Amino acid sequence: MNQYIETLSNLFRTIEHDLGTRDLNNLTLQAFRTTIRQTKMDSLHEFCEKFKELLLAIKSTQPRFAIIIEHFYRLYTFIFELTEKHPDMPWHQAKEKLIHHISELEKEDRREKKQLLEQAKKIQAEGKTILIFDHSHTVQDALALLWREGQRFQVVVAEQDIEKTETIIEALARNNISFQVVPSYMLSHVEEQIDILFFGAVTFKSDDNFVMDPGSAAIIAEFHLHKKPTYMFMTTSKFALWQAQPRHGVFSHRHTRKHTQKPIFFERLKFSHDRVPLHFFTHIVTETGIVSPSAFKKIYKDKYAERKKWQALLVL
Amino acid sequence: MDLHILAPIAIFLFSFTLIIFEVFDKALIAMTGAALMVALGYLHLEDAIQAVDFETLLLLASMMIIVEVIRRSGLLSLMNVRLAEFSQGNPFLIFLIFSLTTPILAAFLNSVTVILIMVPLTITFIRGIGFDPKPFVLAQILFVNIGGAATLIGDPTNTIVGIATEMNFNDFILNMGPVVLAAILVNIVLFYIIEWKKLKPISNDLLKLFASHVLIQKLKYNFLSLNFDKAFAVKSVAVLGLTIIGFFIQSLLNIPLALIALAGALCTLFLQRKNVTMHSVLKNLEWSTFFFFMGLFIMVAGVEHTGILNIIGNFLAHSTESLRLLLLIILWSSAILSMLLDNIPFVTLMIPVIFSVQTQLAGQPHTDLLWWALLLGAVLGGNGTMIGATGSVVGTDIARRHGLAFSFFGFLKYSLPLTLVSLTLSSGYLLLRTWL
Repeated sequence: MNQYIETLSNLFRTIEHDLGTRDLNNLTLQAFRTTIRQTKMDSLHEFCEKFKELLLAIKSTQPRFAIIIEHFYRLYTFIFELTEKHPDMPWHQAKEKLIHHISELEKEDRREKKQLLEQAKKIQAEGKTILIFDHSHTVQDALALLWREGQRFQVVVAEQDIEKTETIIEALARNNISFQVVPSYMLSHVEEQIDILFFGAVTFKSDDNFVMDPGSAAIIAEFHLHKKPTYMFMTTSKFALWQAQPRHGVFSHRHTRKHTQKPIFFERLKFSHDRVPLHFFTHIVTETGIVSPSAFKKIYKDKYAERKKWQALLVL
Repeated sequence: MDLHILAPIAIFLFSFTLIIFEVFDKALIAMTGAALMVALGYLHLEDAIQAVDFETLLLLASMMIIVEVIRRSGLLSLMNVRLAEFSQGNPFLIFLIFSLTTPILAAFLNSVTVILIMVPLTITFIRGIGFDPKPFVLAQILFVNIGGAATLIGDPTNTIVGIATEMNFNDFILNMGPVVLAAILVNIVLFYIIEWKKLKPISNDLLKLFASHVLIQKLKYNFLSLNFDKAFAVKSVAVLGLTIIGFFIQSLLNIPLALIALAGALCTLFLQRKNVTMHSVLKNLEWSTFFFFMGLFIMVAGVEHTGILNIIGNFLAHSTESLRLLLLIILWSSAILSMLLDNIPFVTLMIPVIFSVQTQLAGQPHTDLLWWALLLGAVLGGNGTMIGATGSVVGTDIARRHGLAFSFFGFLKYSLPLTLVSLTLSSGYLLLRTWL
């Protein structure tokens, strides 16, 4: 089981790094649909038992991806109800129902994102300079939508890992949005120029921190000092509905690197994510509206309470 | 013996030893040995230039150009994604698909290119879904070498012999194909039996199946982001297809193989002139291999001038009156030597020897089997150890760079028994041919 969790953790981590959290979730659901199609089970009950193991493994990955856990919880609720209502349902029938339910979850996910983007339309970006950093597809889509709606603004891309920066550049170029790129460590020179900041996140945790791309914390803290309005774009399906772990839980990658020209070897540390306090943000754009940090916290608490009720019911 | 006989042999043997132990770059060693033979007057410069088989070099270079353009088209990446998708995450299907695809590709491209593309993908894919990639990679390395034995362009030794003997593409397929196919099938069955625990189906293992499909989805997504150019890929494959058809009908066309390959290479460069530049393609050719071959051809010519190879040929021809025994001696001795040494210099050296044996046995039937015995021994025998074949050396090196280290004996544990099976099959095949 531990080896399997490690395998899954590696997969999720690399996919999230390349594609972002929401696409990771979509890809996971697609993979699960194909898995169900090919899996051979004797009964729904047997599947239910194996699904519990899978959910446990998904809940144990490092880091934990809340959006995937959320969707697999929803799936489990569905399977649980199915076993309760139709304990003798043949596996081939249950399989079809499950596949259909996954499609419903995917639709719901798309609907949620669409609703969030509708809320994003309320942002007044006309004539402003917007700083972006992470490769959140939601932020890119929000910018594209605002541009299509006729608002004209300038984007400053804070440069980070070249692959991620290039993904952002490609998205901006595709939508004909004017932009400049500034290395992240030189942002102090454009502080005055920046009006607002847009960010996306992997998840939001019970300790009131967002889990974000590495490098986000320093930028957000810097602009927080200058009281620049900072927007977070996040659907509530990304909530981490469990007790947060202390900071040492952040995944790090330690490797040896060689000086490009001289025979000098040194240890290099890379961290998978940053944690950024909720109060550093001025607005949170969700599928239900643009809310303040305190209102956002309340939404989180309500969802957390609801999840606790589920957990008691599902006896995992 | 006089110095004119001893010195070229000594230069060759010394260079050969340095090549075996890879003391320096083997192209550098071969060219230095060749230069010494000319500089010390054991071979005239004109003879040295004549000794270089430019037809072989042209054929190799042209095929490298075609393969390089195909590699750039992204087609091989697409093929890998489709294969992974088709395998449905089933370990045995993955094993079967990759093990069958590898020798087929190796037969028509070249073993090193196939290894360079397939091994990293296999390691990423198999490890990504939580399996041990060792048996999969090992099988691929062994099968790439076996597959390369099937055609005139699949392995450099085949190309050298093919051009030297003026045998055509079909001769190789007809003579080497059956035994190569049998060796692949038998090896797959043996692998399946040995590695049953790692290859058994996972259709009722939800966790493993799910991880496999997550990875397959990731591969698909990564591939889609590559901006695959369909027209580019189709044109590249069409040219390769036409070139291979040209090889098949070479005897009808009455055009040298190298010229058919060159036509294919030029055609692909013209068709893809917007996607690839001549300069960038040429930059990626294995130039050191060409210089290695040049040096080797010259050194062998130097040794040939001494007459020693005729003496060896005579000795071999008269060592036994039975052609069958001679075939087995050549097959197994070339196999054992190829397990330990680089088979290219060995085969190059053996060409004049086999010609000499054929001359001694003139009038006897089936003497053409001597060539197949030499090649089967050299190519299949190379699989016996980790250092015996170029594909194995490159494959294990790439695997190590991807965190999958093979020890010499760890590799030998699988490779030697399987190679012995392949060689036994080859022995049976050669003996059977003498009766037909």
